[in-house]
Amino acid sequence: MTTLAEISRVAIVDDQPESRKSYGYTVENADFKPVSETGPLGSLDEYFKKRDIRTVADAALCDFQLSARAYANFTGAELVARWYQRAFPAVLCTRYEKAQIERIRPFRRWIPVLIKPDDLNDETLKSGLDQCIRELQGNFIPSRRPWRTQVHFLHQDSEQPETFIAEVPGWELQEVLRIRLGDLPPQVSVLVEENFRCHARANLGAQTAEDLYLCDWQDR
Amino acid sequence: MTGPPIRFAPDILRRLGEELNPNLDQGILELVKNSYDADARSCTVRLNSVLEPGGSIEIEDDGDGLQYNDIVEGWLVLGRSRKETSQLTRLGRRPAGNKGLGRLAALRLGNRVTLTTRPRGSDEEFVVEIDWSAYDNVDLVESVPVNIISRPATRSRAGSTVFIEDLSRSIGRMEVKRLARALILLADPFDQGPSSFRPTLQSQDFSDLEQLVNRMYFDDAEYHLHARIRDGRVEAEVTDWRGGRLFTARHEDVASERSGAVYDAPDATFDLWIFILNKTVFATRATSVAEVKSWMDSFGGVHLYLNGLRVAPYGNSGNDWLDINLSRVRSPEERPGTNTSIGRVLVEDQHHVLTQKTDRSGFIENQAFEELRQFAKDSMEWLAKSRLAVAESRRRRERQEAPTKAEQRRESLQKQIERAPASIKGPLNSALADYDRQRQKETDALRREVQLYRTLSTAGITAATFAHESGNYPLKIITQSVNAVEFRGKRFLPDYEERLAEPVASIRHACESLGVLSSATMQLVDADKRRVARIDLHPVIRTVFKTFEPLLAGRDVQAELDLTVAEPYTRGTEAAFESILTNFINNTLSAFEESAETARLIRVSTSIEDAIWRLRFSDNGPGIAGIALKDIWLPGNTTRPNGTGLGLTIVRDAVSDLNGTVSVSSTSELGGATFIVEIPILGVVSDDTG
Repeated sequence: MTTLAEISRVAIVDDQPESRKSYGYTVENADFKPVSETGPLGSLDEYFKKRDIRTVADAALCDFQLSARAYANFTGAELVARWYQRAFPAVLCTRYEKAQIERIRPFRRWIPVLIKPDDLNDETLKSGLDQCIRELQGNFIPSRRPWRTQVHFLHQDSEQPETFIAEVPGWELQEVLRIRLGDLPPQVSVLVEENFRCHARANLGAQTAEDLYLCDWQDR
Repeated sequence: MTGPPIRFAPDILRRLGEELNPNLDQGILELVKNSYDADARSCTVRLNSVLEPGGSIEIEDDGDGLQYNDIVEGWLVLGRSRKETSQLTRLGRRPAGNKGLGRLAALRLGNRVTLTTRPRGSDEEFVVEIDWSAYDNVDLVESVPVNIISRPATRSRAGSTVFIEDLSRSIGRMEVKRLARALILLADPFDQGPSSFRPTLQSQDFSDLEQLVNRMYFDDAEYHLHARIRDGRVEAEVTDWRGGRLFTARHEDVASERSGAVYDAPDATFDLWIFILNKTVFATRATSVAEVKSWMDSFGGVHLYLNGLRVAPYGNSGNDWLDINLSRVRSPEERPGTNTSIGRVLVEDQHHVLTQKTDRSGFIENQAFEELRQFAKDSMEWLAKSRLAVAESRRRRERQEAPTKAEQRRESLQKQIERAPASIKGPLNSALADYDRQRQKETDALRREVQLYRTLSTAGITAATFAHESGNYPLKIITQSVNAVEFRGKRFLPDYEERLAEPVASIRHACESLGVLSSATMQLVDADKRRVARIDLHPVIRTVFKTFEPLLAGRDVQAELDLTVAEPYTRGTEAAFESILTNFINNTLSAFEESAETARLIRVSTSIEDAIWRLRFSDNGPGIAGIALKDIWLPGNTTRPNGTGLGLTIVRDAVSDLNGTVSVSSTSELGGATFIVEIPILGVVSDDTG
């Protein structure tokens, strides 16, 4: 897939049939053919084992919440990220709240485009898919480019024991992030304590915390 | 051409020995390190009658002993070490001794010193005697010959003994204590295998320190976990530091996470000593937190022994093969770390199911090893859960005991009143009864308040769940569907604008309002808002009113914000400050329901004076009627049929959290009520400074 013009079929992944249908309207408005992914999809590994998405679609529109019903045992963020790593373009759609962003951030490096349902229409879908394709070819928009930066773990979150409050001084000093230890590589998570500093790669050009990603963690 | 060499006067011995190494313990320790470097398994330091001058010190080991050349080129040479620290000893030890000056200091503690040493594999032994008084009457050190006598061995096995006699000074308790601590840090804590080193101390004068070196700090552990696996089944028990049994477990308890399945691991035992390193716990003990901490720094972690032999790197510094620290980070309560626990796993691998890597860097991580590791991890997990259950039970008991304790105090007070003279007994009893009534009233009010808070918390959690669900499904579907109607209508219906544009716009507008309400509800439970941090007060006011905009608009309420140009900030939680505003707004909206006023108005104005920020929240509603002003803050007091009576109680508590005050006037310049909140601020950001 090298250009938007090559896309004709768009898979729609959402755990509710009504939602898939309504996303389908937008896909049709953008002159693509909607392909509804009916569940159950099972675990992420099972899904990738039994389903080659490229045989039915050229791109995908995926909702974040997939597990409220017995549809899938993973989130849309995990799915879109896995597709990205296999060079398959997909847009993640969610009405994201802060808590959800913390669950998305570990995968954000491989999710070029996040759209709120309110903002999703034929134009934003097409431009989102276009951005995905460009990024898969190595053409990052400035706010998505990765830079090596320091991450400063301030203290443990008093409400969530497996989570630390952290700041990325190279990006924004006023804003703090919540980072779950389970989302870090084991060799880094065992070192984390109050005032721990380490390096990772982050898109320091991100305008908001929703767009910020952290990856390639280094233990020193 | 040969010139004269530099020679030394005997005084140099004193300067290099006593003056350079004033600490006696360091000198003796140097001799113990010599034993370690000689591959000794044991080394005994005997202190005989050292409380007075004239006593003696003996250091005896079972190491490789010294050959004649080792004595001449090493032991008798000062300032040069024959030990290559990069070269390991026969038993694979890294040499610990230094250049021999500490040894000189130790040897010069007495007036005479004798070295008796039998080299490994030899039937002979060498004896070296030094009488320091011989140096008193000569000009040069080299003028005193040192005799090395060779004789048939009197020692039964290889090793060395250094005997320092006629000590020129006494040795105090602090010096012996430092020596004891240093010996513990040199010792293998588990004394297992042929390469382990175990120094001991013998001293009648300091028998407690002798015991300390023997037992090390194991007795100071708060908990000792002992788990055993036989044929895949586990038994475990935990004892306290006095040896009392605290918990016991059957196989099913430890293996509960794997539904009681047996472990496919070799037979083994696992011991873990867990320390609580704080001053309160150690207040009544002979050892200090610092001593145990430094021991933990050296030996903390779980060591692994296979058929009696230590297997590296398990338990080495930085090796946490049981993920002890990771478990602690993930769930810190009642879990040890490698710097607060020490342990060992002894494996009896009769069937050779564990395979060491060819480079001897541990075991190949096969099924048997993974299962062994899981057995140890599950045992620790069981211990953590048992400790958590005890902690929770203690907390519950404390909660239950609180009223009983109060009751006991009351009975004690009653007894004291009974002893009072008759003239004041009556008034005292009457005052006590009055106090009881008032206290009961407050207790009842608190109980109601707690119940109401619980009810409201449940309502809040449910509202957040519904908000999340409505945003995820119905709203998303309506938004996408209405987009489709608009898109297709414009494309296919010539009279779309005339017939459908308006209802489509109405649906979209309603969706936007619903979306804002849904996100507003979610934002209320944002965890960041409960963190204590700097709060910029005015931006929060603007955000809250922005959030409530659709709701206010839907009820024809206009909001006027008259905020100072300077932006004040304070420290506290945003949740507390936000709850003040949201409860004022909710209160006003309810009041408006009982008002015929059509031009509904809220006005929020702020001012700053002497580092006190003042907020006036007024409306043109009906004001406060039907309830005494002083009672509006009490929980459960409301004039509305479905009101909780908690809104203003929350305001009072939240203002108090921010070290402020709140007052109310039943009328205002707008005609309704006015609430005045005063909060001390830390500073302001002026518009010219940014």
